[in-house]
Amino acid sequence: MVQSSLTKELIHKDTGDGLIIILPWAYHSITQGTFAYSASTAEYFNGGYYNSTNAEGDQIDYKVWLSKGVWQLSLGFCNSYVYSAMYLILLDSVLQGQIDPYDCRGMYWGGMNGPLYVPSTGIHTLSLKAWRGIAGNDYRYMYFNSIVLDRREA
Amino acid sequence: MQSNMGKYTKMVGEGHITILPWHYYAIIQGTWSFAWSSVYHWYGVFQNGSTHANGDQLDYKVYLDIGTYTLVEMGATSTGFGIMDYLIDGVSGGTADWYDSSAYNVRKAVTGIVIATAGVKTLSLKINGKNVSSSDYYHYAQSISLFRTA
Repeated sequence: MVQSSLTKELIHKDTGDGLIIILPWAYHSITQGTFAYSASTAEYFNGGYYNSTNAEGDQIDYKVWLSKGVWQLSLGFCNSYVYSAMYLILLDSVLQGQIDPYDCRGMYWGGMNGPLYVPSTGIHTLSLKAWRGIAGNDYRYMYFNSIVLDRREA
Repeated sequence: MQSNMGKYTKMVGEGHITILPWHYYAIIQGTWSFAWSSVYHWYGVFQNGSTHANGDQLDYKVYLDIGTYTLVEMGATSTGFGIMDYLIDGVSGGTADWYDSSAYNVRKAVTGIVIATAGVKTLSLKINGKNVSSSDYYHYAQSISLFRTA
């Protein structure tokens, strides 16, 4: 059965997912730590999610369907919390190794340092993990309000 | 070509769906409105505070592919809150009991919602009874998320 040009277009262009916004509490699992909402009138959306356990390796996992293509990942942070750790962003085995850790202290928003290449369409796992990586920073807090994935190229 | 198109509908994913509760398709029962408070995410909740009756219902339209989903709602709990039934095209995918001591920004999840056919679905949030200890049928919604796990 030969694929028509229209069918190919359906495969490669009509399987997009718009602009994906993940709210932090819509997680699939928590691998380590305790995460909770913290309200703050000083923050966008009136607060965000954070790991109250403040421990190295605290990790929260999300499931997201991504179509094959080139994506951009960005995070919304809660800026007022100056004791945040660096985040280590973990991706599943298909996507791993593409993202360096963020130093999110004092930031409202952070874009990934480069494109995220998704080689296969399907359900992927995206995790945030508290990771030190900063000299002199003894805190392991992650405090964030949104995760955004937008597709840049088919 | 038709057979191919049918096959490729299985590749149409939905990312990770975030629904803000006031973006409803229809109100089936009750009066729902936004209530301001600085203790909540978004600074408020979408709630049935004026009717607070069994059967109060909001409907949303959402495209879902074949698969297994988890639904997460963030809302509030209190001693006068009801049980929320999450229905897809009229069939219950699970319930969550929002009766508890007063708390804000509470997360509740319903797992294992199976979608057998892809298409535009009606997601309904319907008050379906209450905990025996609850005094009423209030519901405060802040966000609804759907993501596919299989």
